[in-house]
Amino acid sequence: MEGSRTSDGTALATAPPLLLPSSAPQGVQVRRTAALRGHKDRVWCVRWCPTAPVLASCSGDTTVKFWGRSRSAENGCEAWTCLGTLEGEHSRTIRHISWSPSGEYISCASFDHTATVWRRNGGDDGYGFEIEGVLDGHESEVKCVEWATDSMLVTSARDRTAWIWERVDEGEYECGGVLTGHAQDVKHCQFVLPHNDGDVPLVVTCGYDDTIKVWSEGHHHDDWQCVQTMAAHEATVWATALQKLEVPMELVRASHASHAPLPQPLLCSCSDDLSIIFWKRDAEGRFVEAARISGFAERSLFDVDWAPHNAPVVACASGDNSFSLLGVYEDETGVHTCTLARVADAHLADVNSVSFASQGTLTACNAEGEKTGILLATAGDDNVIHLWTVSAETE
Amino acid sequence: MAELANPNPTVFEPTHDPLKGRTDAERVAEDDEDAEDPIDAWEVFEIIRRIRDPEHPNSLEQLKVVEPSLITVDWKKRHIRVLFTPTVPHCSLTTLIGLSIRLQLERSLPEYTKVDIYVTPGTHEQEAQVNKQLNDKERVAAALENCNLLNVVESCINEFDE
Repeated sequence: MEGSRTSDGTALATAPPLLLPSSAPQGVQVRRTAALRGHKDRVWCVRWCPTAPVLASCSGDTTVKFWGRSRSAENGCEAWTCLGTLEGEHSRTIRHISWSPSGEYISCASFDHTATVWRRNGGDDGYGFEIEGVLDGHESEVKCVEWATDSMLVTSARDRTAWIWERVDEGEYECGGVLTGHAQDVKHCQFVLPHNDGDVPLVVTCGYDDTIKVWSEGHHHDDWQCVQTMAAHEATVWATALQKLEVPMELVRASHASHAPLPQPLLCSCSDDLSIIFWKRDAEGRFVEAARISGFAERSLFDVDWAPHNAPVVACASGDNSFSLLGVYEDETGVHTCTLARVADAHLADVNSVSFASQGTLTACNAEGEKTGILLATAGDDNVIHLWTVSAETE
Repeated sequence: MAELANPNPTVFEPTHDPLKGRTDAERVAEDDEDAEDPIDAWEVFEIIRRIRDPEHPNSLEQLKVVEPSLITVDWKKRHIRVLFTPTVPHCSLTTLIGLSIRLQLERSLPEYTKVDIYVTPGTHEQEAQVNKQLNDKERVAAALENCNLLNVVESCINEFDE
């Protein structure tokens, strides 16, 4: 429907639509593909490169490792191997890693109170990075780091703050704002970039005070203000994840022609209260609860990630050694969510992180007709990373 | 020196009978060499009872901070839940005691056992805050990377080791 009008003809703002199927997604099949061993302590976070089939992992052993497929010299079989290791820069646990949008940089958040930025150096032998900058300012363990663009990041820490960083020159970063307001540890932070004219960049943070906060840069540069606090979770909020939306060109054209807003991505959050909440934005841009699901896990929910290319599927990591795949859809009554699969005993210990690869689709097959689907990486307290192939069930 | 968190604790005589308090089924399981010998509440108690109080030369058992009846084991799920009772409701060392229990169990129990540690309900003014801290594994991991704190915890764990 079109936006409604007041009596004087002024258009009322309309909430951006969602891009979701109108019925529950079909079931998925999950197949274990590889086990990546090499870390000497629990693996806290895994993230796929946005532009290449390479996985980065970080650990309590203070290293970051890169994993990719390579052909074995002796038998010609392709296998997942460690392509390289970053070490020596952090003296304590590396808790979180994040790739810049181009895949040229990777950043690490550490319990040593700093985050580092590494730049890809194209050595023709290994898969290499060299350290480019140190983000030093937090007073305690840094829990998370995420990029907005290749030159802008946000970090969050146990000191209750999140910091905006901007690269002002090669290897040189300046603080572009300190976000204060959380009552305890800030477990996770991320940017929400504009989708429509009039939208402004936002930062979303969440943490130990059971809340999610939304921040916006005020009229003055570097003046970030909290514009909303969501207090729907009843325990620590461990992470948020934004839907990876790719708006089809025909929708862009239709939106432009009718002056209607473009589809918006859903945000989801996971918590120690064993629930995931899906958030959408209303006409004024405020986040409102769209759906909530619980009952699929028995212990803490530590991480959540959306499948790529508009697939309405979310993966969730749990402290009960399992991960689950949840489907999202929207019918005339609203947004709904359902459990598509639960992989019990995925790890011998807590599952800390889930990450969908950037390539692949749920329905993809190879030349032999085998389902290739999308790769999902999981990381655990058992020091192991597992790779899984997630594909749509055939009817 | 700083004021004691609890200047005058009550000291109890420790139990001498290692079989006391076990259910009949647990006794039978202990003697059956073929059974997997699941871990029971008493075994968990044995692991933590000799931890020293941070500011007194007494064990947690002697101060009745830990008791076998406050330990619950679900070994099918590899899950253990320990309640501990601070000696006074405002004890400022409660989190340290909880960390000592957690580290000792982590080192002594089979790998990947799930351990939840809580203050006995109603026995501490900041029960909710302490419980939340002790069961946030990220905060616990970060705390135990702090050498000074780790040394204090180690000294509580090692003092009465036989």
